[in-house]
Amino acid sequence: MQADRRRANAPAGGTAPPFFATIPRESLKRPTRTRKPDEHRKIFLRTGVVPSASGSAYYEVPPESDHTSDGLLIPSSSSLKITCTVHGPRPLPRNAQFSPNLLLTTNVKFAPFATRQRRGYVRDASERDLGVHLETALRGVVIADRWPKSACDVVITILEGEEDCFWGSAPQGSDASKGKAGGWGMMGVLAGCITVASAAIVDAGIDCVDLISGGVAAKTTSLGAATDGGALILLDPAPAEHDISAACVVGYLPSRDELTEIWMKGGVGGHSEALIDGAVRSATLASTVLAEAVKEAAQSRLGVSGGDDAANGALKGKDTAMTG
Amino acid sequence: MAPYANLPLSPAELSYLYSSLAQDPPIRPDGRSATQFRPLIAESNILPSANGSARICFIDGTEAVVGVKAEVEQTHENHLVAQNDTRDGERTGRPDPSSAGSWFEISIEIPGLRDDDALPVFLAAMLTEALLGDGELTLKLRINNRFHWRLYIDVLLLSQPLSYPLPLLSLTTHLSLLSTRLPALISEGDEDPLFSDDWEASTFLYTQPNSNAAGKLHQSKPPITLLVISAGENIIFDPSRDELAVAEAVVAISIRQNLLGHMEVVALRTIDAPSRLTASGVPRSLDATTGTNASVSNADAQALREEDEGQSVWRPPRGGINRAKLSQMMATATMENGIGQEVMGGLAGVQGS
Amino acid sequence: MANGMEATPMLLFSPAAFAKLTPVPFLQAHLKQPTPTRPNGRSAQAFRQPTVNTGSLTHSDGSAVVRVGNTAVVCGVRAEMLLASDIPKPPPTSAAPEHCIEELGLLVPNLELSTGCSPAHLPGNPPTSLAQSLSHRLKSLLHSSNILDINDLRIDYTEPATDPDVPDEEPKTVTKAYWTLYLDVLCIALDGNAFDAAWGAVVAALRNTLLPKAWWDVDHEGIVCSPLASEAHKLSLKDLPIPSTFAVFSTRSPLKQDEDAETWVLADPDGFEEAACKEFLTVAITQGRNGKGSILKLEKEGGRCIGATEIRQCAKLAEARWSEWEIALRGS
Repeated sequence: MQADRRRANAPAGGTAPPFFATIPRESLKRPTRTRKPDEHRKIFLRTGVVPSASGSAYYEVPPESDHTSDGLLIPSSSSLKITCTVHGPRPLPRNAQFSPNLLLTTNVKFAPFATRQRRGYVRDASERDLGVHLETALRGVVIADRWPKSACDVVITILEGEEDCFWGSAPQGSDASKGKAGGWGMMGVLAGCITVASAAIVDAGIDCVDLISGGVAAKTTSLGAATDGGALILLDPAPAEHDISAACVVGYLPSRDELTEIWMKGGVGGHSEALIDGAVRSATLASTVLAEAVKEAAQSRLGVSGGDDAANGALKGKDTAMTG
Repeated sequence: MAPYANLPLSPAELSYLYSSLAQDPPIRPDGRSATQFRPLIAESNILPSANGSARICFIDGTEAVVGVKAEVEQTHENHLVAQNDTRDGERTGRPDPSSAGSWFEISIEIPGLRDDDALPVFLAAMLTEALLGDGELTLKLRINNRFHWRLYIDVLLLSQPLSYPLPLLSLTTHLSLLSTRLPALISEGDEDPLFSDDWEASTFLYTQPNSNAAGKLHQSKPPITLLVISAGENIIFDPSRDELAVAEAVVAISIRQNLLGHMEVVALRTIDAPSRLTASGVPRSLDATTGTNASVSNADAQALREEDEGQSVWRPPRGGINRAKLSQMMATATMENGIGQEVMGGLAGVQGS
Repeated sequence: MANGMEATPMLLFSPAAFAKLTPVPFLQAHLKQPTPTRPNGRSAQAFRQPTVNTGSLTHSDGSAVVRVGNTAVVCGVRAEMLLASDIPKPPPTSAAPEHCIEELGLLVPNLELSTGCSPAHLPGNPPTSLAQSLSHRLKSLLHSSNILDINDLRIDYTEPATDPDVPDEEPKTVTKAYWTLYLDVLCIALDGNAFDAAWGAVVAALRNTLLPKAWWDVDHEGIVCSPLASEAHKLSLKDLPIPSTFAVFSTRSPLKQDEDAETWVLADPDGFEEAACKEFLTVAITQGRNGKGSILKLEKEGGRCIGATEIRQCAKLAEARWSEWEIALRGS
């Protein structure tokens, strides 16, 4: 590959990730799920973290178990950390074609240190695909015909991404040991992206038909808890904790009971509807956190400045009531 | 970016089209029923140097060619260790998901688009997801513990992408996989694989139905991806370009036939509806040229537009699709003797040239 | 214009609108007050307080989040292995050890602004010239300050004596590989003075870095690392270089006499001030164990408004700033 002359590059010899000596099996502890199947991990969500952007939000899902306790350098689990900024609505450049609606573009990028294997600075196919998914989810929510000739950028940086499987179950060097197999982590990341983008869009004051939130559910064939023909539907799965055979992400509008985004894959079997319902329940859980964060931000904004802003806020409230 | 953007339809035309599609039963511009597929021309085995190939031409002039090439590849050593680690009974069971993604490769070429544009990337992701399904294809590609087949599926769209090309590409891929043959294996066990050079002895990747004399057991078939839209209360299959322009929601459903002969959903995803990019109409009460209401404030105009709710003039649809309609879509697609089986049945009848 | 308040009420803008429409007179009006106060409420010499958090990223060998006012920067250090046999042109053995790191390219700092941190740097484009120059300045300060010790990054192997007949032969030690540190700096929020914050994040992340114990494995013919955290070692950082950036705001223009011009030096400029100023000065101070600060680097660009006196004052301020950073980094 040609070296990127606009960035600092690796030394000419090329580097390889460190190769670790084999870890004794007994010290290798796979994280286990301690929450109930229909429980969501804790979500931390805050808006207004980037003052120079029109709207912004930060989303974090910490892992249930602490990874530093096992004395290993290799982390056993990963958390999910996403920042999102919204720039706009702003006028389209003069040479752009006329657009009757707000042109929404999404950009999803993993930080180089977001995953077990170091990532590059140029977006790869999976990041582009995430961007397409997110765009589909958001386009249905934003009332685009209120901003003709305008553009709006939703930029998401994933500081830490969810993994696809448990790294320790596969030998070093294989894809699975880099936490990269099956693509289940991407689905959790997308659900987070939808929720955080929704918060940032609200923070930017862009009119929406509803407060969209993302949720994910997975089907596992784990032993023991056999319900519904051997398959177990789990809400908010952490891929390191489960053997996932199928998963589904939704972008859910709670007050309209509608979905703008569905992404389901894997060996679904006859459980497609159960999976979608599970993902919707997971999205509902996320939406309570989202509503709380948005409300808090609105209250602090009204409390501080009052006057002009309060009038705007009231107007905004009226808009959503009219269309919701 | 999307080839279907910039639709040459006015708000009035969109409104007319939408209301006819929303009627019960829907009236489609080309007179089809809601679940009827457009006629198509298909042939398979058109490329003698490929393991499998197919060409499909839709009635609107879009055309695609798919070639499938197979190569023997050594299974990653580590992967083998992983399998031995698991209990013995599982060795022939579900393949390790870490390998499944890399055993076949889909590349899509669309004229006028670079291969890292959003559309080819997204189409390739959709086709891969459907093929991965529950890992059955990976089982078929396994030769022994040490070697496996690697499939290269090259998809070439010959025409300009007039309508959304996903169904066309998926059907062509389906047909080419049906016609894919792999040389017969002579060697045994885990030794280096040796194949018969007699092409007549080669086996189909997906066994042909007529080769199964008993006929009791159905054969699994590669998946196909169907496009479904919703308009009002109706769900409409295989939308044309104009119909996509007024769709409230567009869903791509990948279905396949399992070993019991039933259709099942293997992947599902929503697609950004091009209707959201259309221009809305101006309600009569706001039209400045008619002179009645030339001087309303911006806020009032917006309120009036909201009151109209797209009843009298076209307004790009908002929101998404509800779960009941989604279930209905999946049920219709996988129905016994429904559209899924009809399309697959039709393609199964295609003879090689 | 600053005194233009007697104008008709029609022309009375809110401060935000005034700042947006005519940033330079707005800033000048603030600085002209009896006690010059910048629009952000700071005095001309006041810096923003840095806060440092380390070790929050799971998949990095070392990491830090640094906030300076509204500028927030994340740095992750990722160590990878460079085999000595892969180096196309090994530096001569006589080369001074302090040049080895630069020669081999063992530090790879990259600063990314296209994270949506400000509307001026939207993703989808190649790195802007600002991002490129910041990455380069980080790299050159890393090298010129000699902050890292090559011995921390070297993985040596002592060959067993081959000839049992010569018992006195000293065992030969060869360097089999080097650790390469990828320093990925992501600007999460940008409100001016990205360089100081980025450098703070780099230093904090390096202080936080744990490198696994690594050795040459003869059977495996490669480097093997120990997965145990107890065997890993920290980097030994030499003294602490801290840069401080100043912006120079001047009313000087080709239309006016130079004597009439007024000049202010603003410490730690925010985004608004950066846009209104053309002249910048960065002073990097390092303090050895004797507690005496010395100037490691002086970078000045644009304009010709300040001279030796002002630079001397800035250096004094930078020295004071050094202790602020030192406390913030020590507390993390």
